[in-house]
Amino acid sequence: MRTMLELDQLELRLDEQPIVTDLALTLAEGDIGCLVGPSGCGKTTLLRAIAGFVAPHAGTIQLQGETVATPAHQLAPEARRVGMVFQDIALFPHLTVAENIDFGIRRQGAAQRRHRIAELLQRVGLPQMGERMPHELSGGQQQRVALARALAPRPRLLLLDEPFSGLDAELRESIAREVRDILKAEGITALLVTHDQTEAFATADQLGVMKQGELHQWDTPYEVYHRPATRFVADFIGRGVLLPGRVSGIDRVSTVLAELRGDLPAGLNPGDPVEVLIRPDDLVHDDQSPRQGKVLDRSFRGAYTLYTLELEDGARLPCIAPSHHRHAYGEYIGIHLEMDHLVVFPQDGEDVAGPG
Amino acid sequence: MAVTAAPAWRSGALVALALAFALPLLVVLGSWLAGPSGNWPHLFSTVLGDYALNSLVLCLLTGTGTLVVGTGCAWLVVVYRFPGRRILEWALLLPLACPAYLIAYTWTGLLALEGPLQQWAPFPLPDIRNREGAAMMLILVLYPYVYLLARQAFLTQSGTALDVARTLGAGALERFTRVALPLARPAIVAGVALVLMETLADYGTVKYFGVPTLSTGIYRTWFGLGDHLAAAQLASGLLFTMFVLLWLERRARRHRRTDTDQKPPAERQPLTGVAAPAATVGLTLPVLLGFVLPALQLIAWAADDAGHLLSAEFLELISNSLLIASLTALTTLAVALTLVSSHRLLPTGLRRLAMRAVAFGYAMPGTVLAVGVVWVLGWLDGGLNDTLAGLGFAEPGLVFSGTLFAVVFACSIRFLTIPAQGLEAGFARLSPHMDEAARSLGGRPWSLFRRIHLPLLRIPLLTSALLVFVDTLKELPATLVLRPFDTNTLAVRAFELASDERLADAALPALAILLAGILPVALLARSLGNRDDAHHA
Repeated sequence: MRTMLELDQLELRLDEQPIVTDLALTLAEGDIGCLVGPSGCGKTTLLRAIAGFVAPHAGTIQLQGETVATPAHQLAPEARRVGMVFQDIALFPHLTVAENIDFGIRRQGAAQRRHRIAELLQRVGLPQMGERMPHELSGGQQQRVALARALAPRPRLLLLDEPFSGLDAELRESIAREVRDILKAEGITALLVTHDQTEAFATADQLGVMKQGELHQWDTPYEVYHRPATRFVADFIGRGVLLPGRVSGIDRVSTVLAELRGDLPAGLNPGDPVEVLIRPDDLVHDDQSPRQGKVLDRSFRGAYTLYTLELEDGARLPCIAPSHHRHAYGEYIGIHLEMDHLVVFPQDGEDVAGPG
Repeated sequence: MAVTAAPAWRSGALVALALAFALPLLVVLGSWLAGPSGNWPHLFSTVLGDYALNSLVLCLLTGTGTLVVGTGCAWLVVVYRFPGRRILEWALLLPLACPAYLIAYTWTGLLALEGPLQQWAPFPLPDIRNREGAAMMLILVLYPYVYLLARQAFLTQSGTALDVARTLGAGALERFTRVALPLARPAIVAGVALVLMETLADYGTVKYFGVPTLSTGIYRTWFGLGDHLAAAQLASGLLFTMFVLLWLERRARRHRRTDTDQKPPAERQPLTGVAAPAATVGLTLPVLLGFVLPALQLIAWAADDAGHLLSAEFLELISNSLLIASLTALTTLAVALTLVSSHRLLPTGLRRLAMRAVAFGYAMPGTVLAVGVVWVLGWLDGGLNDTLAGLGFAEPGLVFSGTLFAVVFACSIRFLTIPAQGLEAGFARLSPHMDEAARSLGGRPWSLFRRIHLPLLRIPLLTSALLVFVDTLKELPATLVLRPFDTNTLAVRAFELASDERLADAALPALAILLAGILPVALLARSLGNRDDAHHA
């Protein structure tokens, strides 16, 4: 597949403050990329730089192999053919829904435009709404119109800045899936920014995790979840705890729970203190197991129950149990580890993970 | 809120007060009840066409001029970055300090054959003492109305709307015409409506330049023709136009979009190449022509005349002006406070009517106002004298129409809306729960007003007092007619001296007016700065 977007050694500054440092990523044509990270991590600034509103301090931005931004020269936003859906939606309040969508395709023929508007209204599920004014629409409807407006000129790349943050929590995931379907149907490459990982998992082909201007990992959602590249990614994505342990062999780590086997990062020697990432789904409730933990907390989630258990050495672990397994606080329940692979970080605090 | 019914006499007194302030307006409108004046055919066949045409052309030129200058300046200041932008942003308001008649006579001096500019210019400078010149003068001092409202509209319209337009391929011009301008249109219309009201109300400029308009025509009919009825009826025509403009302005304001969930505007784009100095020069021009050059000329003239600074005549001008302005400020504050805090005394409908009548005062051109006030106070004095004479007392003379009372009354009518609106907005910000809390703590209405409302309304009270004070200092046409026989004010004297071609002698009073005029502009400029900070936060 051809590369649509390529960022290389990108550094962005606002008011001389570094916002994004040494960032590189590539996004293939037709893929949906998603950047997550806590607020203030630089993800919105990164989007604005790709759109052309922020000039890079160092590095390059390429679209389909064409360099659109270097520190010395930037293609104007209006010439980039990069669409953007803004966090505050920002429909033009003086134009109807159809006129909003029409805004970017005015230079095309009248029949062509009419057809495109109708097609997009259909696609976003608002076929009868063309003559409405923006203020007559609900938040979710405005969001769809904003998407249709950005899609109308068929941009090379579509950027979406926290597109669902203004919506109700229940709506978010379903709209996120819907947007993914629309983007796929349009065959468009998109880069989306969010701080909500549910949205990210629902939409992304490629997932990036940012912290303080650095891209910690850029991979498929599966890899990011199961093989987090850094301690921060492990902590930010999904639930889990880091269980202390000690390297006991070239492919094994001994912990309070068990001796775990798997690939270790290079440079670790037997005896080195390490930490092992334990996800709730790694720890299986098993009434037969001799290994037991005390129930500290219990959170009923409908389909399953999430327990927080305390081991004899004081370590606390999350554990998923079938919904009908009800145990009281303070009760000891059996557990065993079921891990496909090891995610191990050296305990000296260095923020690097092993290949797993 | 209305728990206890107010005593009827207080409601009655309040209605009487509002009525007193509306009386001159009603008299002007009611002049038609006496039947049309016999002079109308004569007026029609001679001067009326000229009056109307001149007023119309002035409105067209001034409206277009202020529209272009005000909107253009606002757009550049809001969207782009160029040398001097921060200073120009508030400096563009400075011409507001200068009444049009002052700038008209100052420019006449600047462009005169022996004036400072002609000595340097290689070609004969144009004569501005005509209709188009009057429009130029009005544009120079009135464009800030449009600038102010357009700037605010551009600032508060979502910056992302423009960013969106860019990502959809719209270039700079397209973004302005297709997004920014339509969004700001209501604000701009409101600004131009205000400009047209000021243009129609202008007396000093057109009188000085010898351009007969409806505004000066009213006086000519009154004094020249001696037909008070025709003057009042002519005034009612002008008033009607004002109502239309006022309605237009109100409607435009209502349509202003006040979305609250907007992002601050996008970062200002730097202008590059010749565009940057061109913008700086272009935006400096209105400030230079509308304020700096006239001010320098006034200073130069006044410096030659500095010996008169402490002359008895000048000191008397100052004390007269200060007295009238202070009395007007106090009167309007008192009346506005009474009206605004009357929500427990008057039914909502009646109170709204009173507030609206108050707002119309500002729409009354000074000439119209003077006509109305002279009628009303004339009757009052006549009635008083007749009654007292009938009772065998000595006639007191013209205690209302022949004293400062007439001037203060007229100026109060014209400027009452300033404190009324300021206090109304101030009261609106006070939570009614606070009143209820105070009353549940045992506070009586009067102590509530004194201990809670007055301290909290300190800022709007002081601000509107200042605005009324300065506006009264600058007021010309009503003061000119209504002042007592031997009493002069700064504005009247400056105008009289300038009309007698004693331009340099007029400088001292003119400069005093200009200096006073800077005060409210400084206030305004400061509020611009505050809003900017709020955006950065």
